[in-house]
Amino acid sequence: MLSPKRVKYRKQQKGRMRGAAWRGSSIDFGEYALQALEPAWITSRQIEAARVAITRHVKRGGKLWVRVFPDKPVTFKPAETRMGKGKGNPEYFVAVVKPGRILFELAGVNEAVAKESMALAARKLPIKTRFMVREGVR
Amino acid sequence: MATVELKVKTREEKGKGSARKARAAGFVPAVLYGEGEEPQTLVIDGKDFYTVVHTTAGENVILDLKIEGAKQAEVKAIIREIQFHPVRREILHVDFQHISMTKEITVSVPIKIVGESIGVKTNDGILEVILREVEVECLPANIPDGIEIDVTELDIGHSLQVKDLHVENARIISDMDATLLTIGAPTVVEEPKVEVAEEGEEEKPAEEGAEEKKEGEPEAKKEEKPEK
Repeated sequence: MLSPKRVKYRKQQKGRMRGAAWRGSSIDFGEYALQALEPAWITSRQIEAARVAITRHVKRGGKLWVRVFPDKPVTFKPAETRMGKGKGNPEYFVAVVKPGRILFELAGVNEAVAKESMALAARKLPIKTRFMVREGVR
Repeated sequence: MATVELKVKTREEKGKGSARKARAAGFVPAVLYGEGEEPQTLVIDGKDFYTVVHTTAGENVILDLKIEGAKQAEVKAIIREIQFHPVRREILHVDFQHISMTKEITVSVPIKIVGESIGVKTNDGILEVILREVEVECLPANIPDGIEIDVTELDIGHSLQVKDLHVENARIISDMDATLLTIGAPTVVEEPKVEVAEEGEEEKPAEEGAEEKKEGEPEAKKEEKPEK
């Protein structure tokens, strides 16, 4: 699973996910892509599950790019703990995704395979997504 | 290179407020600039521009701009940039560059891959396209629609560089040693673990449990890793 090798600060504040993802919203590497249409925190487990779904469906050939990285730690307080006594422990990492963000890119396969594999990946994610094709590929 | 006529109007007001109003009315805000002249703000009819961009030549067209309300009513221009909304994919803004038909300009020209390589066809290799466009310097009339490159002879491990491209009436100014494309070895995905465990029925739940544990382990370690 994806996670940072080391972090400068162990715990982060929640933040807000307003607006659209202006950066990382175009197909830059592959021919086909999966684009987020909603804002969400995508966990490293979800990214890994989606990646595995794509690579297993593609089987041979094809090149995959994962365009998001989970770099934000999420903390939780242990169960049955009283409030206070500081912020909880880091539990996992998430990628902050805004609408328009390209999540995965794929190349070296035909459109039908790419579409099907992206649909399988989309089912592993907690948001609505869209399949995209680079201009000039069709 | 194809030449297309496009009617545009001058836009007096500047800023995002007027641009948003123009978009709401079905227009696309634009700007026209060129060497040694003041930039001119414009608006285009969204439908007209859509038809221009979706011609066979795509965005690589010379435009005959008929500007309503300007001193110079007819201007030759090329599309320098089109800004799209990241979600709705609608055109937000267009940059036009005023060109002279007798002066060389720099443009990006798409690379068109011709044929199927031996590496992909017979050896299951992957065609990895690294550069999809190259910068070219030429007269506006000589801008090629695309630069064709034949890949039929390429096998796994072979690659093509910018220096392998041949263009007539134009000069490539991109880095000549930059790689255009390579034929990579095929990636083989490991079979899913579930299919491997076929022997005993009792083993299946045990293995599933083991997998869950494995997944849990690295996370527990990660919790300890982040330090100040």
